[in-house]
Amino acid sequence: MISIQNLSKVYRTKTIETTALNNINLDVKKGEFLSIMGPSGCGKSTLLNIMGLLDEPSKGSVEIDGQSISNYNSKSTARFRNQKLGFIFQSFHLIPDLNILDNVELPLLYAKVGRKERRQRSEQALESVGLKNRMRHFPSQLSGGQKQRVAIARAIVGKPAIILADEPTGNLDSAMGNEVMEILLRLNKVMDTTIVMVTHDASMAGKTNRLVRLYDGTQIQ
Amino acid sequence: MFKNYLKLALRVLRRRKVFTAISLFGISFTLAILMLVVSVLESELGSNSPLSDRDKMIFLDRIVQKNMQPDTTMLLDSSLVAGVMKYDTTYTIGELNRGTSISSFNLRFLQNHLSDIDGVEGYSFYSSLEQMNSFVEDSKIEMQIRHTDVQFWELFDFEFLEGSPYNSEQYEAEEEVVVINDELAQQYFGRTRNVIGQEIEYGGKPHKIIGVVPKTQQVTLHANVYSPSSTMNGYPGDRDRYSGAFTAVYLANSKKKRAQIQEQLTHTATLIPSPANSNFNKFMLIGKTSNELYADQFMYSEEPANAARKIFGAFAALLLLFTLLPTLNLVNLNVSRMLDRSSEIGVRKAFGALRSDIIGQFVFENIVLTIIGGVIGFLFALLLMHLVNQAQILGGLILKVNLKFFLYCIALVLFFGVLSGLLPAYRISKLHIVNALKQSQS
Repeated sequence: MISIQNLSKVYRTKTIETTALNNINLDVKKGEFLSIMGPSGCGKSTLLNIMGLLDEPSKGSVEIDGQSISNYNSKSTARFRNQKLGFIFQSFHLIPDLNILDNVELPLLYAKVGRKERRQRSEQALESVGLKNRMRHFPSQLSGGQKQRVAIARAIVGKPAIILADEPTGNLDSAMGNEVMEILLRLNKVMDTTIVMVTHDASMAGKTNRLVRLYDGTQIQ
Repeated sequence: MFKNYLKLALRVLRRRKVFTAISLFGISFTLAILMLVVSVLESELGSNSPLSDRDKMIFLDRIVQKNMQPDTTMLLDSSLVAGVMKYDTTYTIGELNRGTSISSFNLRFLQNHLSDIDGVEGYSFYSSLEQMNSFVEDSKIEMQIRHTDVQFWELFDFEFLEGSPYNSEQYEAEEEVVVINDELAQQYFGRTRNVIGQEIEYGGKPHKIIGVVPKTQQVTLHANVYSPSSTMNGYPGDRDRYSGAFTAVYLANSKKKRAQIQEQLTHTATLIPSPANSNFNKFMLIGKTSNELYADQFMYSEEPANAARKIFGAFAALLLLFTLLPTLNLVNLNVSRMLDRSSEIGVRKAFGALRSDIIGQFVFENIVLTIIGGVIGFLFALLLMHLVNQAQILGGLILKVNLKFFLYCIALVLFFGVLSGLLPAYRISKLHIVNALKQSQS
């Protein structure tokens, strides 16, 4: 599903050059739930961002769903992200001025889905995370766990083939973290969605199919 | 999509009350001032009654008369030119202007030389203002009188409050009839209606009122009294004088024809003979558009198009400056407001928003803000216009609200909204997704 070859990422300023990722090779199969672990600053999020086409590699190639994305322009990249990828962030990144339903609708808005269908699919997504009764609420009226469930609903509403989750339980207590993890596991199992998750939590990583460890930008497992 | 943007825009404005209040104050104040300026320009330069056809008119308000003489005259007793001896020869070198007269026209001159212009749909000769006094119950009323022909009323579409203009028969019969404006009617009779058939007295003669028109904003056409030029003392003027108090106006079929009429006037000037007992031997007839005539009040030039360009260029520059300064201020406010929402921009882009979507959203939001400010500004502008009209601080210019002014205001609001929203939206749309997501959290 995702194929990464000889991938490196270097950040350069006028005086300093920092290697965030060094020659990473990684294949993620369709329907796989992969977790990436490593200490802070080891390049986990950078790798996830590159997989999600949010950032570009300095070297190497990324192939997603059989398509090489290195030649994509910004418009094609945006369309690809909209159709194939869903994102879950550690700090939720819900839009505070939109209610829950409007937040979840966001990917469908850019996919030019009609209003009625948008509403229907968003309600379904919220129902699947147990928050349909909160759809008129605003993010500030929800708990952390609920916010992350909304973020999951937003990530799955467009029925993407891949979900990229950057420490989705990082800001939650263990009970809420488990709740979120259960939803992700169910998604992976029931809908056969490929999930790549960055985490610090070994117990969460233990629930996934495979674990990749990074250290100083290098893949060690 | 736009409904979504609208909901978001209104909610952002409600959430950030202080920012909204500061922005709205700036926007509404700026727009109110700009709307006031637009109102003044529209009143002065718009195609309004009685100058609805202003774009098709050529005004000829001055004749330039010059006394051109040789610069140098040499008298030589004898000289050898190309091998031939010449005796008692006069040589003149160059040309020097030894005197210029610039004035309005003598009516007879206009009738004799400038009433037969090709391609003209209509023309009129009318005088500058003549001051007269009248006494009503021991109080002095100062009047400004303009002498016109009958065509004057056909070219300039005055809206008659009552009565009608004088006709050809009355003009030819030199009847002492007049059209007055409502300002004089109020001063003279204490009312602006039911004065037809009444008489006003000036110049030692009574004049019968046959029509009442509103006071016009146009300086070139303003008068308290309009009277047939056939009733003037010494009508139509000295045969041998070209100078006088009259202006000619020509109506072309179209804007394009206007240029041809101007060319014809230039050509006619070369055919004018020197008047008797005068040294003037070269003449210039400078036709002006209504805008050039307006600009001429501020800057006289033998090239009125240039003068108009300079005057209107200065107006435009000032207007642009007054628009740009608050726009830049709003741009700054908008940049900080949008940067506050960088996390939202990151999320939108991550889920598939294009740069054009981000630009569209933020420009739209800014237009919503500007429209709200525009409505407040419009109400404020109406108040300012009312105060200006009451205080008569613009030389009697009355600012009016009409459809055209309203449309100009809408255009101004949209222009201001797009201008002040586009630059920050463009800048914010370039934010890198990863950096944007690192910003504020929800």
